[in-house]
Amino acid sequence: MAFIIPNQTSYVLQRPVDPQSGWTRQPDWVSVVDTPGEVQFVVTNMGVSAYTINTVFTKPASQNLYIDWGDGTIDTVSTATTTNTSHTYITSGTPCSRGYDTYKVRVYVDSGARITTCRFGITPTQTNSGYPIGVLEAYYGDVTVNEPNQINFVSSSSFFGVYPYLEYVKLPVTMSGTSGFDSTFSGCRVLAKVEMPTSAANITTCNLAFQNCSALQSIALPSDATNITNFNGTFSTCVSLTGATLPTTLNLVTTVSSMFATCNSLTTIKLPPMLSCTNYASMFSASYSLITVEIPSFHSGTTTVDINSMFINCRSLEYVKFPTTVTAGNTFLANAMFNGCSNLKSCILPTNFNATTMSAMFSSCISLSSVTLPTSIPSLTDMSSMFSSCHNLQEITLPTTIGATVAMNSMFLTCSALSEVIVPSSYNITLLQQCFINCTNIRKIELPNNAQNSLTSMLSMCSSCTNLQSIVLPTSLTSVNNLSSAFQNCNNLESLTFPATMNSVTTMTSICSGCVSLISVTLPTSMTSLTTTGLASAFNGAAALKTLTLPTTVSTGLNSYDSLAANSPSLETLTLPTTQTTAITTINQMVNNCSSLKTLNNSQFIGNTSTGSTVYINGSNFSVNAFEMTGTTDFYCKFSILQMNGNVTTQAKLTALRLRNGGTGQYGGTSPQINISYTSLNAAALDQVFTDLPTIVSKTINITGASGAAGCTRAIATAKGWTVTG
Amino acid sequence: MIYKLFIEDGEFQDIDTKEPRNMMEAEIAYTPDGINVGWDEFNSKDEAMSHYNIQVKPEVLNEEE
Repeated sequence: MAFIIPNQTSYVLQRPVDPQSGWTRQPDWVSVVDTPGEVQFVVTNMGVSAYTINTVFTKPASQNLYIDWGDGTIDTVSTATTTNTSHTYITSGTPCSRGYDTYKVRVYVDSGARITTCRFGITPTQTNSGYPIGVLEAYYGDVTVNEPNQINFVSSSSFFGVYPYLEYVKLPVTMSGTSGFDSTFSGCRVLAKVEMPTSAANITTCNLAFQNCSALQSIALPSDATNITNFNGTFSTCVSLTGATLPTTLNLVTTVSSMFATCNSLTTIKLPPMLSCTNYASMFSASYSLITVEIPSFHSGTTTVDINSMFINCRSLEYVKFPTTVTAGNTFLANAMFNGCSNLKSCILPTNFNATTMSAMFSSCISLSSVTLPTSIPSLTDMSSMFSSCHNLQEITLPTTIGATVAMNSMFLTCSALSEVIVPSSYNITLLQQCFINCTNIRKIELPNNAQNSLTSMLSMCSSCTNLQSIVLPTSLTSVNNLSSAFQNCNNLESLTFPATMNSVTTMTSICSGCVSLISVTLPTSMTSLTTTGLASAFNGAAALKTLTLPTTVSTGLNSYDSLAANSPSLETLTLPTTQTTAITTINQMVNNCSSLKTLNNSQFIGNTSTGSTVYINGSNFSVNAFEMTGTTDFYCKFSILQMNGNVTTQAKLTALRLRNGGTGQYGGTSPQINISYTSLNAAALDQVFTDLPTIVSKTINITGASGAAGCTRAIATAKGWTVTG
Repeated sequence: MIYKLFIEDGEFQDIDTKEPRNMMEAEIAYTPDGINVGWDEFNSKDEAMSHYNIQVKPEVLNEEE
């Protein structure tokens, strides 16, 4: 008879499992009556072509162990020590409507002897440890097994191959061994029913015991299995598991890490007291159907308890009943504890709950509307991303007492319903970047005026807080250096005052870009630490801003005014620093489209004034469409390109322009190197510009539409090698 | 209108080589060598671009969109 040897990729699909139907023994399998003193297996002709049974038994006098293979062959084992007995079926067994034959294998001993080990393996000639073994059922009668690991169906075992067909196991009534139950059924993916011993008091560890038993719907541990210390991953990925009956107390357990991870059918569970447990990490992670959990107690002593990611991605979770209080002195690690619990609406933490870190604790809890935190979490130092993407959170009362310092970066990122945040005065914040980014409904933020000695970054702190109306920046923020995009796109922010002493700022790029309602801004009195591009786009698109005054003193290293106040159509006056900013090399779009700009103060302080300088400033679109800018605009720097033109429909009011640096090497930019088209420069003013030009060949100046184009003397320019268009 | 092609970075690129190009358009150009010397007259900007074998850079088109 040929054995059926399924290929490795399909054998697990031999018996599709309906998790709703429960397990029913196939009626046309060979019949088995569980018998005291015997171990029995139902095997099939799927899988390996020959079987091996490994036995150990106690052997008083001349007694033997017998293996009845169910096809008329009975092997006798007279050696009590570990023995492998192999058999190959050559006759048909009991046919099954599923398309294979079944055989009943009995292992029994003479009266007085006792089986201690009886397990299936593969024949020594079939050394492929991944080969599927065709065991369908295992009955351990009332055999006492000293060593739980001797009952072992680990699919990844290096000796015993895999058990892709194992559906039912009845364990011995008593398991008197003292060691673990680790990985016993790990990977038995169609195992649907396990009858546990009535007593298993000596089991101490269940590490990965039922991992990946994806057909298992329920399990009941013996009530006396109270000595277990390790439930690490015990039921992880038991995707059909709807319930687990645990002993009423598990006070020796130290870890339940990943115990029910990815148990996608589990909806509710009440944990027993586990007064020694210190590791709950990922206990229910990604158990998508879990709705309620009751935790009667936490550790009874003074220790650190890891609850990191305990419920991460439990997207059906609605309620966790915590104990009303926890033992004083316990300190929790609560990173990402409820991260991704998208159905969690409220959470009340125990009154004594203390944690060092709550980073991302409620991140992406998109239904969360109410959180009750203790008034004091004295060890807390990390609240980063704690409520990020809690789209339904409207208000929050923060603990008044926390650790000595605290990180709050991304803490409220994209909390789009949050209306107000008052940070208690005791907080000494170390990180604030992106703290309120995309809080589109927030109107008021109060930051503490405590000593913020370590706070250096407010990067994107309030970016896109489109309803933010007021924020008071306390005078304690003197160490902040990064303000980039801090208030970008705060559409309703009308005024902003920085502490005068906030003079450590190195970058404020795009700090108020897109703040269309910003009317007034008061910058620190000194910004001598700015990096080279630290002001780029700082007020780009500040559509209501009328006056912008940079501090008198800025960093000598600042080299860019690019888009400083571009696209600010209300801006009337821009005052630049009076200190010489010799490092400026680019003023691209600095006041581009500032259609109301009348006065640009201190243009003479832009760049190096030396005729011998080799720095050529890029002024592409510098003041294009700054129609109202009048008076003399004086430049003492060298240019590679300068564009100050109006357009064909609106003439710019520029009436005088001086380019006083006649040094060599200028105007290496793209053509036209100077664009003063559609300006109000009259003939004399144009002639003055021509006079200021250095002698240089193949350069172009565009005066199309300028007031004085008809009467100016172009020969002044052409004689120096320039082409004049218009 | 008159046009002049510049072998420098600008809004255009050579259709074949994708190398950057710049082009100016004017009604009149006073050059050191005389009026419109070195400039070409076309009926339209498109005609000038075709003559110079240039096209608008994709990134410029994207900005305009």
